[in-house]
Amino acid sequence: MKDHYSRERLNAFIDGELTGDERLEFLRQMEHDPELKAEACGLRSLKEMVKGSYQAVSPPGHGRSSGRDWNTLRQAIAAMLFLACGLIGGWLANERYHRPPGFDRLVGLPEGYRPVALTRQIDPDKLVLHVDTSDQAVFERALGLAESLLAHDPQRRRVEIVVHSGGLDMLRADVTPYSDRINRLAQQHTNVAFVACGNTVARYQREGKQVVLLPEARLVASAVGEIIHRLQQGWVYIKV
Amino acid sequence: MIDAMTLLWSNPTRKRIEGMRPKLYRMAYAWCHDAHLADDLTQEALTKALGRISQLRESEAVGVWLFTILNNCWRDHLRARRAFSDVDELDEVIFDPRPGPDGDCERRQTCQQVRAAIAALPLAQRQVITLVDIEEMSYADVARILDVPVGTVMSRLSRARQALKSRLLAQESDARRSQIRRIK
Repeated sequence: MKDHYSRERLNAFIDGELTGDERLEFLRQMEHDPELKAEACGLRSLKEMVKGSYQAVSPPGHGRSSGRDWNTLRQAIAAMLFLACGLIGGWLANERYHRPPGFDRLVGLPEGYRPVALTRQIDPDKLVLHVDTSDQAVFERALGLAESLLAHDPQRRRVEIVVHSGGLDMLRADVTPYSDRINRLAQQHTNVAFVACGNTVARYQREGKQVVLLPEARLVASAVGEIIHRLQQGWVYIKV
Repeated sequence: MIDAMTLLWSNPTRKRIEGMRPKLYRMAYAWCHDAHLADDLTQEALTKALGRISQLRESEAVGVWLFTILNNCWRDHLRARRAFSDVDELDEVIFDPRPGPDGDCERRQTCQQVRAAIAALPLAQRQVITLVDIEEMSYADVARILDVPVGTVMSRLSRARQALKSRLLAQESDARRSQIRRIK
């Protein structure tokens, strides 16, 4: 690891505490310094292990983890139904609803995708792309879509690729064939985010699989929670 | 007027405070690795928080405020138990390095190893790493909760992760050696 990157700065990178410029500089540095990249991957993995090791801890009387797993599952099902309703009965598909202003201006979105919004006021420059399968053709499409969307008004646009279930493989350092492309995308655009689902990571770990995420990935508690949160903020949702 | 305002927003705030019980308990457990003590600390922190609800500024993050109270309860407990005169000593002290039993995790060796490694960290490092990793708190919020400068949070976190990494790597190589011995 190069001297001018102290351990504290490396930790700050892992914890999302660097500013946009610092983060960009760090990503550039990492491209030329495999040791630094390996260190970042190791620290990220450690962070996830610490988080995962206390997930099953609950106060007495609040049920054991099986109960919580069921609650999580129930919430996930409710959220997915909510998404599905948006998809089926949402702004685009249902003429009873008024199409929110700005929906026609999704520049950079190729034919064949159905954008969904759940709020009346949307920001057509903020898009969340959802990947839930380990199919590499889908990974390819998601990255191509992100590149295409960010090519238009790269200053304003914000794109989040949110992965869970099999989609997690896209951001697993030892599995994904796209680490260079993801690194390049992150270097070119500070406003692109790669978001991994904590529930999926925990499940993989329970199954004895080691999960090492790419340093560009950000871990959230739940992918579905993140998607719902973004939709509530007026982001546009696209299932890849 | 202040009382009327407090009443107006105290009910939802009260609910939010009570809803934080699982998070507070998890954090208390990660600090002390004792289920009963974690429960007591959580209850004490919640009781204090509900009693001081009028002191909570509307703009203040409830999570940061509650974890600050939990930290104070934890320090009070340590002072009473070990008679620490200076809380800075906490940085150097290792408190009961054995994680308590937990049915869900007993089967999961990795989970136990990580908890054991966390439990072996000096208290101050343990608090920083658990707040940052389990609760995903920002460095600034952790600094507010623990009442230390952000630089101290960063150095403690860096030391904690280095120690954790070394310990886990050592455990891994021990496990490999014993596996090789068994095969022989």
